[in-house]
Amino acid sequence: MVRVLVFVPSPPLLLDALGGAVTSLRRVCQRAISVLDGCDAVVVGASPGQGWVAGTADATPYGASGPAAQDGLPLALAVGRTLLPAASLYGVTQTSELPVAEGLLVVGDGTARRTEKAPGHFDERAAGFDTQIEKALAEGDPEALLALDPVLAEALLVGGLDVWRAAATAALAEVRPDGEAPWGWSGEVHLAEAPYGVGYVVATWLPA
Amino acid sequence: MLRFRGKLLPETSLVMAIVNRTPDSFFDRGATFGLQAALDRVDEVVAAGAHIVDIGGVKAAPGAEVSAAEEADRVVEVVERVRAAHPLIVISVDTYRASVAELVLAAGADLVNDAWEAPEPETFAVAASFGAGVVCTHAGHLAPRTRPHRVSYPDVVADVVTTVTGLAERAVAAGVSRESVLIDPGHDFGKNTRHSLQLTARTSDLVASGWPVLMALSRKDFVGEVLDLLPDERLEGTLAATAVCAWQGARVFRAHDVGATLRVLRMVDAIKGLTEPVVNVRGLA
Repeated sequence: MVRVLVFVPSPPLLLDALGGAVTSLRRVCQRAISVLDGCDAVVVGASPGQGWVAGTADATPYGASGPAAQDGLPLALAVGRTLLPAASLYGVTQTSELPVAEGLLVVGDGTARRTEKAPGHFDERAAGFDTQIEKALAEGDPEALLALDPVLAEALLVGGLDVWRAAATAALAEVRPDGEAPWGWSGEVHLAEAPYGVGYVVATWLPA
Repeated sequence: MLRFRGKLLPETSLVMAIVNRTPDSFFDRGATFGLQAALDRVDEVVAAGAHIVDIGGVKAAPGAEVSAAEEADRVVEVVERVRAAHPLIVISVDTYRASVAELVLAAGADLVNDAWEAPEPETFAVAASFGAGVVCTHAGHLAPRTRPHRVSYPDVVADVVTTVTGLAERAVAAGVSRESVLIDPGHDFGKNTRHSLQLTARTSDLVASGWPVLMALSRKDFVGEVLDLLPDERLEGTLAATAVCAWQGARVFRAHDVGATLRVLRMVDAIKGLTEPVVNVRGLA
């Protein structure tokens, strides 16, 4: 029975050992995540395999100094672990269903082609695609997340599509206590920006 | 020993001067795009003491597509003219295309500087057929002219050593002479700044492979990020990295600033005991 969803991005810059450049993003994430306080929350993020994962948020593959962990997590789950250390971690692939949980921390990113200096260089379609994501999250609209074009998403280097689709499916599956209609969601976007050409969005969904 | 089409290079640290026949490279921004400007730049860097000139027709970063024909138009004539004007200089061409490599080698180039991890492996056989050399570069396994996005390595130095020595062996297997192969860790290519710093610090790991190491450090983003400076402010940072790599045994330095780089390398070579002071009278008269 999911009751709270929080959406955050996953730049490696959010890992503790690499922090500094995105302190305001981290603060916004932490404020948004505070709605999960007291919840039985699960971090969900892209992973090579589906299912529960244990491990360490290891920044050494991204160049941080120190010994490498033997049990380093995939990036999205590493960022989730950093932001919400006590939560369980669940890896998502293209077709994953999510486990039952009261709260979900959904870790995923928008396009990576917002500017000429962006990792994927500039693509004029990227800003519009990120706006679609932002609108879906602002309106608490799982159908809109599911309607995002996967082919265009791939072309624009969107990192969050799989996890958003899984979260949207979980959100749609919730029904009102009377069983008559889908649970409605009230969305709020706390941040939507692309300071380095990658679309970051932080949002929360609570029951409407 | 380094030899390219019969041209033997000295056993000191060496400078490969950058000559961009591009309208949009990150530092010179088209300053030597015109044919005469490119030729003047070659004259200038040869006079300054460069051992190799590296002529490029396509910028490394993403941007406007440059066809193979357009690339050849930009570089082949320069190579012909430089060959005629400077018969003994080693001419390198910065290209990842085998077809362009063939044309410039036919025009008199000595070395193919492929910065993108040999996306067209037939380049090796092409170079071999001319008795020319190759640069084997680590580019993070990315496609040409793409940027790194959250790239990660269990051990970036190990990945680089394995990749470039594997490419070097393939080049030799294709017929390139062992004394005409350079390896390049590819700073910034498929790497974040911390990765490039680790490669700089552990240059000796590459040198230990036995292959001569080319370092392309000049005014790159890893220098810019360390110091938070723009390309035209990155000379000192570049030279610091140059000295660190030379001290550990890197042999060739691809540079915009030929005179400054040469002076740093002469100093390092003297400290290593590789060369004698040019003047040596202090306290000895």
